[in-house]
Amino acid sequence: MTEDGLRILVVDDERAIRRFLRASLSTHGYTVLEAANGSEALAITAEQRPDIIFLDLGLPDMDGIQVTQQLREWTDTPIIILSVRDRESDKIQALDAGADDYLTKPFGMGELMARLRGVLRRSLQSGTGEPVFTAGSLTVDLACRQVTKDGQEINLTPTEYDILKILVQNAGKVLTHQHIILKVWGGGYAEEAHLLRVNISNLRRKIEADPGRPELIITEPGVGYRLRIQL
Amino acid sequence: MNAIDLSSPFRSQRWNALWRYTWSLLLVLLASAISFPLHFVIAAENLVMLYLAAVVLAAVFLGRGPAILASLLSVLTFDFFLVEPRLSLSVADTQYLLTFFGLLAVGLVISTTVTQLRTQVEIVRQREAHTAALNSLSQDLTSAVLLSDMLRSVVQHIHQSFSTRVVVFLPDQEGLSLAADSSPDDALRPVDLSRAEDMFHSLPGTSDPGEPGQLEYLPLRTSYGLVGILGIDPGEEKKALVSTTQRSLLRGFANLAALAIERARLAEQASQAQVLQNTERLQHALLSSISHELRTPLVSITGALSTLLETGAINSPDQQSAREELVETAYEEARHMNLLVGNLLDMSRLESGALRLSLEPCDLEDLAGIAIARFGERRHNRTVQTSFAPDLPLIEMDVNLMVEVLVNLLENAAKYSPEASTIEIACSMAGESACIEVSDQGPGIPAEDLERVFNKFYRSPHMQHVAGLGLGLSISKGIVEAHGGHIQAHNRPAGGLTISICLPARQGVNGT
Repeated sequence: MTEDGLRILVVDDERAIRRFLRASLSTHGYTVLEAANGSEALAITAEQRPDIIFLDLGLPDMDGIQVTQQLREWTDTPIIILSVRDRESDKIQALDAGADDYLTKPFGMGELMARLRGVLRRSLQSGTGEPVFTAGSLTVDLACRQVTKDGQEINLTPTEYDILKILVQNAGKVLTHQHIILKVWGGGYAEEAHLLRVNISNLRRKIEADPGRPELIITEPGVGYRLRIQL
Repeated sequence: MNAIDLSSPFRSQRWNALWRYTWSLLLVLLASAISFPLHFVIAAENLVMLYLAAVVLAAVFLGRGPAILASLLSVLTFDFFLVEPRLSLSVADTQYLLTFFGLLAVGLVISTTVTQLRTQVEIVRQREAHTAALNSLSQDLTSAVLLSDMLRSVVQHIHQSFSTRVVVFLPDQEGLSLAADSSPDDALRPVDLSRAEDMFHSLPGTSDPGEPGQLEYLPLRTSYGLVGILGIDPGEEKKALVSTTQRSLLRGFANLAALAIERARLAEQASQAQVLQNTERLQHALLSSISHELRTPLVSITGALSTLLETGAINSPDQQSAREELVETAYEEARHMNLLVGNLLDMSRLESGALRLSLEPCDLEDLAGIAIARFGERRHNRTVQTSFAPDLPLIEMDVNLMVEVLVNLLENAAKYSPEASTIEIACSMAGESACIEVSDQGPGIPAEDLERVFNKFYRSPHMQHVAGLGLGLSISKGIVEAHGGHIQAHNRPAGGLTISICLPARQGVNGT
């Protein structure tokens, strides 16, 4: 695996959680650094330059959102929030502050690894740009504006294509409704919020095997959508 | 109640007095008319007796004034008609002054006695009326159960007896408030709450007569202290409360009212104590049920993990499947615990009113998809079949909460239906509402339980063998109702249970 030896900083004030993450991540070949509070996290990030940060929101000295904001002032190191806070507003706030992804505790290790790979993949490919995206039977060629499913070309409306393009460019990452609306329509809320849902529904009908059980475009309730990778 | 008939107009009394004096004049004239022909046969001195009779009659029936008038007129007419020289008042000797004083004294004595007697009779009659009024209020109060009914009969009875406005103030959390009013529309006299409050807090000895044109306040007192304030409109120039008997009647009413209020308060306290006891019992049951529900998965988790920890036991390759099963069990149970904790959290949010909906338009197909993914068909060994009516609009909802509702319904359906059976989700429009139906192929529930399944911690007695807290459906109900929708359960004709949710479909902007 190309990710072998990557250094992950786990920021959590609960020893049991740090311990369990260290054990699990070590078996995958990652090096785990630990911080029990926000200031420690900032110091370790500056000194040891981890490749990715797992950050808890409820830290004893400062809020995780604040830590994210301070980190984002000088580094693009990917941040995945791991928190028990499950309100949509918390997730949106963390994503807006610059976090790359959000996972609610308790989570399965499989889910965490998928998010980790998604984030890493984006951070590794950033700049170079990968013109062809493939997930399962779906292929999206951004250079040719071509979308195929099982080798068959699919006709998308310009709006549907725009939405799919943003999702592909951020594959694996959750995109907030507001973010997608801003990129596709350039602003607005009420009318576009409806248009977004309707377009996603139509898009699913065209690219999903079973639109009732979507496996590519995943809804993050109250937050936004995510294009799933690693099928 | 003639005793307290205070409203008789002044004019009629005056007219009445004139009438009485006229009667007294007529009596004297009658005496003269009889005695004039008789004086030829009977000595004039004896005829005085006839005039005496007239004076006595006037004194008995007409009162003091007419009696005095009668004695004066009697002496004059007697002198004029019967004493020589007749038809003149020129009496040389003053002997008839004695007759006059005699008549006057008799008239005064009799009329005074009669007036006293009559006053006493009147007082007795008033007392009787007061006792009857108090009795009738007392009877009404005995039969009343609610404090509001008691207060209503108090003000009604006092209003009947005094024909004036009556109010009652009772203490509540914020101080004193108007609890009953005999004539709420009466804007004539202001209900001065602050004065009543002053009185309530300063505990003065007796009543507060107040300023002219204001209500008069009386304390409602029992042996335990002040329970309220009675206000009464004294009327024009305090006519309504002028006599001591009326005052004592009012005090009697006030005492009865105070006792009734105290009785109601004590009954209320007793029932509160009962409620508190029930709440404690419920909390106890809740705590033991929750700890049982949370500990059961912990037993499996601890068991599975401790087995795995003793690596020697299951380390050989041929026991790979046993190991996997242990891990799966532990993971499943942990997931189940997480669901329970989530439900408890939702419950407390619902109960404390801290649940805030963040509404967004949602596609019902998307909603069902998220719920099915979270439910996990393979994990439960159930297939979920979905059907959607064409052209369903987007529905405004808190998607996370509605997903929780659907997951709860699916979990419930899985719990009570046979292995490998199908659970159906059907979405359709019914008028202005979007309806989501979740149906299982289980045994259904008895008709009498259809309503109760949504009660908190309610578990059907027929289903005690299935583990659960009885929270899922009550939380679902709370969430659906917070959306302005409703939820109900019914048995399917072909067997199985359907829970249907109807949410208001606020028609928003329709996309293309």
